[in-house]
Amino acid sequence: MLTAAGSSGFCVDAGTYFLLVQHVSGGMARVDFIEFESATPVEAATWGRIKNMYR
Amino acid sequence: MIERANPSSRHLAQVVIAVVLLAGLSGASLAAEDLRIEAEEFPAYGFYNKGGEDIRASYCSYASGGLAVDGLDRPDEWFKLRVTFAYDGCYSSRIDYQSAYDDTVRLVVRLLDCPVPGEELRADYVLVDGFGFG
Repeated sequence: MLTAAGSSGFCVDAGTYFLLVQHVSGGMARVDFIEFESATPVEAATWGRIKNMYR
Repeated sequence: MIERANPSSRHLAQVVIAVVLLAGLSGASLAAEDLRIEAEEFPAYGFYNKGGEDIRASYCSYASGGLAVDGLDRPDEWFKLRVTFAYDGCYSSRIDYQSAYDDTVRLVVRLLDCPVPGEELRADYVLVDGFGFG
């Protein structure tokens, strides 16, 4: 399968979320998986500040 | 007056201290983990098909586990997946998919109700010059 890399990183709180995989344009897509790769572990003390940078 | 703990209560105290220390260490940093969400899990969470090919799991020799999802072939069609992040953390995302030969396909992945209910995070993905379906 081919890979399309994400446009940017993001930060989330722990929890369960829903994600939509949505067609925008072009022909048919065959989708294998979506993968989330973790960034460097975040120290708890700095979590709030980093999270706000992404909001 | 100081009471001496008997051996069994001392042992219990050592266990409690060990548990507290382990809990403290695990909370020192938030270790995010890599997550892979297989597309073929979609039927449990819903989809929207406007026409064309059905949105369905199908065999694919190149796909992980031999299954992928076909049928996203009209603008605004979608399928929904569930993802659980066990820890607060920062991630980058990617998607593996195929398109037909010489075809450009644009998809968007929307993480709903994130960072707060009613908002969403979006990531656009474009495959240019597809290599065909395997």
